[in-house]
Amino acid sequence: MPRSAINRIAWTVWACVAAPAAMAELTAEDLKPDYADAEIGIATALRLHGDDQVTQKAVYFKANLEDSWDGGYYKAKGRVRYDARYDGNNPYSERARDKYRFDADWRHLYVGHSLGDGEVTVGWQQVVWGRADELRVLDQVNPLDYRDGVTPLLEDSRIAVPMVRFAQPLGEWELEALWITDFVKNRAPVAGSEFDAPLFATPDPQYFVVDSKPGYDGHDGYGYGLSANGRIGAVDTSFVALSARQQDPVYAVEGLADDGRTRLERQFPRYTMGGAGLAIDAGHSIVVRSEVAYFDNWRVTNPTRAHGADSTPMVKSLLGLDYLFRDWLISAQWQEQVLLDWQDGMVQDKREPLFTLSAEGTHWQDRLKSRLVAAASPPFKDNALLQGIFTYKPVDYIKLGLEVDVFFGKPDRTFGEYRKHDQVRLSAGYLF
Amino acid sequence: MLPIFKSLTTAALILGSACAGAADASNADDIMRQVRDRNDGTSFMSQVSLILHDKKGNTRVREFTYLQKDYPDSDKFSMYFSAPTDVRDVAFHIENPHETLGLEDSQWMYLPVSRQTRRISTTDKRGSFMGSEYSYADLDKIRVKDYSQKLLGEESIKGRDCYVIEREPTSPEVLAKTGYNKLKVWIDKQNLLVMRQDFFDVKGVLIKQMRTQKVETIDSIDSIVLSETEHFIDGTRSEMRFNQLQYNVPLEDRLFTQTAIKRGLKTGDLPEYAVSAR
Repeated sequence: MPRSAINRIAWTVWACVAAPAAMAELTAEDLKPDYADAEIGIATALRLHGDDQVTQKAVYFKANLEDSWDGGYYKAKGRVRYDARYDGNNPYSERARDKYRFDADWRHLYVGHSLGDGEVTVGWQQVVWGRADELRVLDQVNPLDYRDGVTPLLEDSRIAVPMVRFAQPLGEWELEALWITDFVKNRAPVAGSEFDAPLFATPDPQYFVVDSKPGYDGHDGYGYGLSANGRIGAVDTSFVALSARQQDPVYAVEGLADDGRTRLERQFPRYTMGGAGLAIDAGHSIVVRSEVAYFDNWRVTNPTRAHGADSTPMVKSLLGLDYLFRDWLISAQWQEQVLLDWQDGMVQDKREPLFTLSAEGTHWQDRLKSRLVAAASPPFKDNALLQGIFTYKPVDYIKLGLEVDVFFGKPDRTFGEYRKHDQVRLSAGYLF
Repeated sequence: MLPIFKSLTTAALILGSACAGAADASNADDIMRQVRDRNDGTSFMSQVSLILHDKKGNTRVREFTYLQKDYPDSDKFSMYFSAPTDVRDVAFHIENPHETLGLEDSQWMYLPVSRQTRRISTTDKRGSFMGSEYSYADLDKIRVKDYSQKLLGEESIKGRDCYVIEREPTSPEVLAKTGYNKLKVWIDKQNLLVMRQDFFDVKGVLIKQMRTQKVETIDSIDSIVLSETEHFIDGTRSEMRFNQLQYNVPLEDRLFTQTAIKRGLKTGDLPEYAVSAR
């Protein structure tokens, strides 16, 4: 995380919390949080193909602290992971070992303060816009960490970003404004790690040289957004707008190097996005959801250009149906991403459709939670994922997890490229 | 007037005015209408313990804050779970239009795992409420016209004189929504509380029984503070215990919107003696 961001947030946190607190007479009891929970556990993953099938041997610790006082509160949630698979003998790159052997991050860390009926929150936060089930149309605020590939739940892979957020209820509506103080990009899997894949490939050094990587610290990295969530009649409605930097790199052509390779500059261009979403209970146990987002000035790498990167408007849209059947919620979603001004040579397809079908259920007095997913893009045989996630809690303080991921398709497609990475993940956690 | 929760299994939980007096009912519809419309304050707040017992006798407890407020055209209520860890911050908001309006209710759920508030269809209420033996239908507000009612007679439950009423769904939609082919209800003649209710499935088998275990008079309103539901097929049982029950509490309108459940309850949102801060 950029040092400037840390400093800014630290000062703000101090101003909101520490300064007033310091003025009060504090006792040890005051410092004890109102609420604390934690989980310690082990996790392992087994790839069902090839050699070295054990791909994870991890110990993790998660903690959640919250406290509140007159007019304010803080929330802190963090996790620490040590993965022995990236220690000792293993097939992974040196950088992957360094990066993934030990890892710690905040899921969120912020303070909040009431302002009338509204509140302002300052710190590292996750903000989720929209109602899509594990797909991102309006949900563009936080970047993702792809360390464990494309199958983990968004909650586990979203990266908290430093921001100041203001939310104000207005009758049935809630208005929200946020200011992201620093740019944080998506984290692709480290080259030479288990989930490194062509999807995250950087330009081939045989043909390209990336000789410029401008930074986006400070004033270059900010973002801001607005949202309004409420109801129009019986329809749940959302409107969002965001100005931010693209979270995946775009490589702009800068000319030719002396050795004949193409010179590239790695950029994270700024874009603006406006979108809307709705949900309505259509009866017959069905809720219809829809979202659409328009991205202005979206940039796409095009290595055939003489200079720069291509620019095109982009539209992402989603139609979803939720069907409730007893203890199961079955969701079908169709998402489509379209580059309106697609040009030859762009590294992104003009249309990128994705269909998902999921079923989530609870059984045995909520001891067992199941999530079954099929995701694919046409033709389905070329790019598909089948996933099952099961969590069993025999008692409140024990959590056992099982996840199965099976990939199908061609090696140049998102899921197909992982077809040799079918896997089973197991975990056991103790909650206290 | 009546909240869904207050009418747990047809008004079982918190209904009641101590001064209601004996129900002067000439038929079952009138009795059910009186149960639905009885005075129970304009708002309500409680800390609720939902206790799940499995067939081996193991017990798990879920805690939540329950808020309800009457509006001119509907009753609105919100539930904020605080324990255990895996349900902490889960929240529901439900809006029940008055039966005379002929509208379906609306329901939203906030799941902290996805950090999203999702609208939930209310056409199928057979699902289990947070893993308990109470289904969402059991928590629903009384709708007199959804059932054809028959007064079977009178019986005594826990020393209280009760009407015994049989209710059968008037349409396939109601049957599909609740999964119950027949209900048999014991209603206290004096305070109109539901003292017991038997649930029969589509094959006519008695699958569940809800029993009122404890009644207290709070703010001059007779209130069920402990309810129990036993599932005879599964061999499981759930209790719902209402703690710190208070009526006519000044609750702000901003707590009764679908956007409020994402924010959660904060210090100062509720009267201090009942705060369950998140």
